[in-house]
Parts: sequence; structure tokens; C-alpha cells
Amino acid sequence: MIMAIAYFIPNGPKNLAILFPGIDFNNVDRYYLEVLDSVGAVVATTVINHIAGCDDDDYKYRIHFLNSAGAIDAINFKLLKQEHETKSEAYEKPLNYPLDRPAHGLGRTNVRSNDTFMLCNVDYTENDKEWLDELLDSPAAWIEWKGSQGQDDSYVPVIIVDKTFDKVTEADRFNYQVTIEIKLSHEKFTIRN
Amino acid sequence: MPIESFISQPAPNSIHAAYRPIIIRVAATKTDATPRPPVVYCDIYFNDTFYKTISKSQYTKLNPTNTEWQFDIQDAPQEFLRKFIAANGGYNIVEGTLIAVKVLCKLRSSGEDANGFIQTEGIAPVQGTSDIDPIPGTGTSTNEFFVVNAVLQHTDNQDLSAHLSSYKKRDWAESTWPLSHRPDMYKIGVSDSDYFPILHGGTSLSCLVLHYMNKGQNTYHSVTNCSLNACPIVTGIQYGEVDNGDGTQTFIFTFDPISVIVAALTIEYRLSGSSNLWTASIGTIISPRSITLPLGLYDFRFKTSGACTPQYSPDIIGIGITGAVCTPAGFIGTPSLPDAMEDNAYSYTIYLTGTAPFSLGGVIKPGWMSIVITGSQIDITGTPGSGDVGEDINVSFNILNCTNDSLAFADTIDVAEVVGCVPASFTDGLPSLPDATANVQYSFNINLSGTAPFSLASVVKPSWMVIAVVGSQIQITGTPTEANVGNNILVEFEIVNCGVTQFGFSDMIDVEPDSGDRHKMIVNYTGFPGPIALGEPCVVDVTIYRTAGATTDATAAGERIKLSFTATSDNFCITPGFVIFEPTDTEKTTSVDLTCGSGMTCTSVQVDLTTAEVIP
Repeated sequence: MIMAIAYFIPNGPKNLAILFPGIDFNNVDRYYLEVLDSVGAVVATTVINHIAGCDDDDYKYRIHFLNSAGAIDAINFKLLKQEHETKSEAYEKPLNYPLDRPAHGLGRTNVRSNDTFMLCNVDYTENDKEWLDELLDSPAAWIEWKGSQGQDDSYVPVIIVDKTFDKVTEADRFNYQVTIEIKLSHEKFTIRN
Repeated sequence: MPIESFISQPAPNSIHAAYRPIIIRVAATKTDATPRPPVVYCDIYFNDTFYKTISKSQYTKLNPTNTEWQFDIQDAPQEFLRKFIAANGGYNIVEGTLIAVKVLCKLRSSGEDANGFIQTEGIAPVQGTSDIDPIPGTGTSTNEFFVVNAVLQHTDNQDLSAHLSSYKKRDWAESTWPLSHRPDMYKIGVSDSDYFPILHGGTSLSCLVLHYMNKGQNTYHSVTNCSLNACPIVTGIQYGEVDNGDGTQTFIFTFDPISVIVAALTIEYRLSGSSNLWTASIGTIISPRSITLPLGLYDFRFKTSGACTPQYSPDIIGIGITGAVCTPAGFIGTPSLPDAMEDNAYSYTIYLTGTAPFSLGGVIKPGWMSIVITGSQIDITGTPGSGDVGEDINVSFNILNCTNDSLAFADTIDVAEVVGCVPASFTDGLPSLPDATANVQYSFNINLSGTAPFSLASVVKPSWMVIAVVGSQIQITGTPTEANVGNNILVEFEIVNCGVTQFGFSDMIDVEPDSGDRHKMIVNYTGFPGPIALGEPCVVDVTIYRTAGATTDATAAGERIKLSFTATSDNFCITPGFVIFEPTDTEKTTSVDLTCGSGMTCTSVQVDLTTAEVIP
């Protein structure tokens, strides 16, 4: 072995549509890829990808997360609720004489806000719970970001909020629901003066 | 040997998780061979570059002849390795930098100098800074192995290779592993971006085979794409030009090292500002590369290709040394190959215009013929043999100069047999060359009989004269000037055919001065009816001719000429008269009355030109 190198094999329909323009992924149910080396031997085979699950762009959040092997996996979630939380500090300043009527007395400073997304997934089963742990325990995660204002599609970093997750319960075993909360990794901040 | 042996170390080329112990245990002695060195150093190298040193001053175990020292180096790769996410929606196989790293440690023992200071064994490495590259040191190397930015849980197989191998589904190479625990039936949306991460230790990845099952079916179809990987673009291109002094220049390019994925580096170029097709120079990926081209400004671009999608560097516009502007080749005159004759030396020269150097391409010629370029002339020589006799033998070639400019020449020649050749002779008897007049076109042809081709030898002639053989005719042409005026100018040549000189020809001509009056008419008169009978009135008809040259001049100008003359009779009577020549007229007749007095008679008359003038 000359060098062990990590490679990311394009695997999503968005990636593969460019490589295989003849395939209409709207008609595809499942697929997998084989990677060939320069002599045509199969060196790697992906898992079977199943085109299924939440695919409503308005409510879908695809979370790419750092897995335990140092690479990236992704899971689609459906948005249950999005909260906007604002935090600020207050200050008080003396009034002028003569009175400047529009001037603030009590003020708001250091305003920061962030969004919390409550997300849910029902695509996987108890069999996959060890792998789902990697998501819940992941130190780094991203949601997909559709390019706007002339920018390319990219990712936005998010934080997975600590929580207790019912991994296995006796009840509802046939409806395996994974619920997580994420926060954006960059807070919004505002003008000071 | 202060580092005596490795008691424990990773196996060669093994893979390890960064978040589990990576143990290196050695038996060491002090540099003076006593069992207990004061310090043992473990210099960690990532991808062959020194990263940091771990040192210990406390041994793990004391043996009778040495001490054992144990290092867990996991902190170093944990610091060094990074997370990586490939671009959203990308379609190339992307290398996940810093997810895995090649590791080796060099171990050094130590001793003490005479003052009791600790003295390390060998040379200590130096860490790099923003300006200075790291400097490697010496020491006893461990095996090379790989560390992956991965974590193994307590219940996982602690051998990362075995752990990851248990997640391989379907076909896998032995030294390739998935860097994911994702399950089969991994859910994905039809517009989602995703990558499947692998750790690969073999040859380059060339193709993707997509196996897909359509909705409502239960069989897989396959398609393959083998051009998924974009080749790297050449970076760090620098160049210089050298004028070779022979109309050419050599470009020397240096560039950053190129990945071995690239099989060939093609440097493409064309004249700057032109829309020519790019000319390719294919070669190795090793810097530097050089190209020699004629002087001028060129555009360049670098193309990488191999088991990847070819990529171009940005164009490098308009570099080079400008010499004289290169003029494409052209012919002086219209070269036409004369025919050849068996066993006779053949020689013909084509003269070229344009910027040297010239070269020949696409040459088609008979075997006996030699075509050589010397400077700006092409010498075509040779002697055909008896086996070369034939007709319509093709001779063609392209004359190349500048860049990609070529001038085509094509002609056919006949090679005549010597047997049956009829010697040359004058068709119309011995010719006599007419005299010439300054500033008047001279033209005279001599027809030859016999077997062509004819040629001339030992030609003596004035410089203004051109003597050429065209087919079976010797054409003598030229226009002398006033400077060429003279008498008894020798024109002499020998006529050659059938491979031998047949006979010589020699004559002299005069070049008459041009009077400078373009309208001068030379008048001859005839038509004087003879002696006039005594007692008859002295009235005569005079016919006046214009010379051929004068007619040409007058006609060319479309001018009417008034010719004045005097007629003188032998009775001393002088009578003036004139005639008017229209442009197309060549002769005029007029009647002159020379009877100057009553009863005067004459028996002869003389007519003299007085003036010739252009009239409206």
C-alpha cells in the first residue's frame, strides 16, 4: 500500500445526475455504485441507496454529520417546528436636559438570536440505532444550504442540541421516530448604535 | 546501538483509529551502552514531514541490559487530523484531506556529556515555521502505518481494518474500506447531494458503475462512467525564453509538481492573436519542459490528461521574443519544371520570398531527383537513368516557414529517351536579329525543330535582353534604355538538345537612340510616278507611310498626327504640303503641284519631312 487516502465517492442523485445524464432518478427506486480502479477491478461498493423518505423541499432538512469513522454521513429530517430565540442585555442611560423626546432611556444591547429546528425522521428502524447514535453524538453537522444571492449551493454548520433520546421503547416499536433539535452554528447579531 | 529493538509497534501499512492508543515500545540503552538513558525521544513524522517530538524521561521497565520505553502517540494525530466535507452537489471523486495520514516515528536515545548535560543521539529534527520548512532528523524508524480520524468504541473490534471490513457490503478490494457505518437502504431524496466515503490504498480510481433499479422493477441496470475525476490543473507555471540566434527561440516552463494521476502533460500553443488550431506538444509531467519555436509571440495553455477528465490551465497570452515579423513563403516568378532527359544532368532552381528558415514537407518526387533547400532557394537536381523515362511524373512538396504556414508546389515532368532524339535546327533558316530602339519593346522569336527539350548554353547578351526557351521557340525580349544605345552588340548562344550542344548562333544588333520625340514620324515616300514628261505640269502624287513604331505610339495615345513636308523639283520649285493621319491610318496619298511658274517643267522630285505634330 503506497498511501491510504480517504476519498468521497459522489453518491447522491444530485451528484450522479451530472455523471449519468441518461438516468432519470425520478424513476429510480434504489441504486448502488461500484468504484473501479485503473485496471477495471471493483475496489469499493456503496450501500444500497433508497430514494425514499421525506422529500418535501420546504420541510426537509438534510443533516450531514461527522461520523465515527471521520467521514460524513447524511440523514433527511422533516421539520416539526422552527423557533427563533432572541437574547439581549439592557442598559439605562440618564435623560438629557432639555428633554430630547425621541432619545432612549432604557436600551437594548448585545442582541443575539438563533433558530432552533425540531426535526423528525421515521425512515430507519431499531436495527440502525447504533448508526443513528453517531448522528446524535456527532461533534459537527451541517444542513444543506441552497445558494442564494448569486452564491453556489453549500452547507451551513449546525449544532446538535444535547438531549435524551428514547432509543428503544416497548411501546410504538413499529413506528421508530428519531427526533432531534439543531441550532445554527452562527448566531445572528445586530447593529449596536 | 542505543535503540536496541522494537518491542511493540504498528504493523507495516496497518490502519489505526486516532482515538485509540497507538503504542510504540522500544528497548533502549544510553549512548554509553549502560541500560538507562536519561531521555528517549519519539519524533513523529506525518506524510514524511516532521510534526512533533514526544519525549520520556521515565522508563516503563528496567531490564538487566536495557530499559523499555513506551509511547502512546495518539494525541499527535488527534491534533493533526481534521474533518472534511466535500462540496455540495460535486461530481468528482474528492480526496478527503487530513482524514487519514501516513505516520512513522524515529526514536532516539540520549546520554550525557562531560558536564552532565543531556546529549541526544543523532540529529534532532526541527519544526517548520511559516517561512522555513521542517528539517528532518535522524533516528531509528518504526514501520510506516496510517492513522484515520476515527474513533473505536469499547465494544468495537480494536483492529480498525477488521472493524471497517465488517461493514463492507458486496465487492470490495482488500485494502479499501468504507469510512461509514450507514446501512443498506440508506434513504436519500431525489435532489440530495451525498458522498460515500472510503479509505483506499491502491491504484487510482477510474470509473463509477451505477447499478439502479427502476420503480416497479426487481432487476438492476448498469451504466458506467470513466471520466468522473477532473485532472488537476497545472499551477505555478513560470517561463523564460531563449533566443537561439537562428530565428528560433526556446521556451522553458517550470511548474508545480503534478499528481501522478496525470499521465501526460500537453503544452498547447499557437501564434498570439491568431485563431489557428492549437499545436500540441505532449510530454512528461516533470518540470521543466521546453519547446523550440520560430521567433514571435505565442499563446500557451497546459492540458492535463490521464485517467481523469482533461483540464486546461488558463491561457498564457503573448509571450516570446519578437524577431522580424515572419512573412509566409512565396515564389519569385512562376516556377515551372522543365522536362528532363535520360542520362542528362537535370537542374532547376526555385527562388523563394518570405522569412527563412524554410523547410520541405510532403515531398513527392522520383527517386533520381534530389530537392534541397539552401537559404531561400530550392535546388532540384539529379540525373534520370534509363529506367526513369516516362511522362507526367509528379513532383510536389510543401514549403514550410513561420508557424504552420505552407506553400504548395506541384508540377509534372517528362523524362525523354535519348534514343531517337532529333538534333535541333532552325525551322526558318538562319535568323537575323533586328536592331533595337531605346525605350521600345524588343521582341524576336526563333523557331527550332528537333526533339524537345531544348536549352541554351554559353549565352552572351546585353543585360537588358532576356533569352528564354519556351517549348521549341527561343524568345528574345527586353527593352533597352538610352544607356544601352550602341552598335555591334554581340548576341551569341549555343543550342543544346539530345544531351549535346548542337550548334552555335551569333549575331550583332544595334540599339538606336530614342529621339525623345514620341511623335516623330519616319516617312518614306514612294509612288512618285516616274520622270515627268517635258512640258507637263509638275504635279505628283506622294504616298506617305508611317513607321510601325510610330503608328503604335500614335494609336496608343489615340492621337491625330499632322505631317508636314516639302516637295522639291529639279526646277528649284519648293512646295510645302501636309497630310493628317488618323490614329488607325498607316498610309496617306496627297497631290503636290510643283509647277512654280508658267511653262516650268521638272523631271524629278524629292519629298522631305519637315514637322510632325499632334493635332486635336
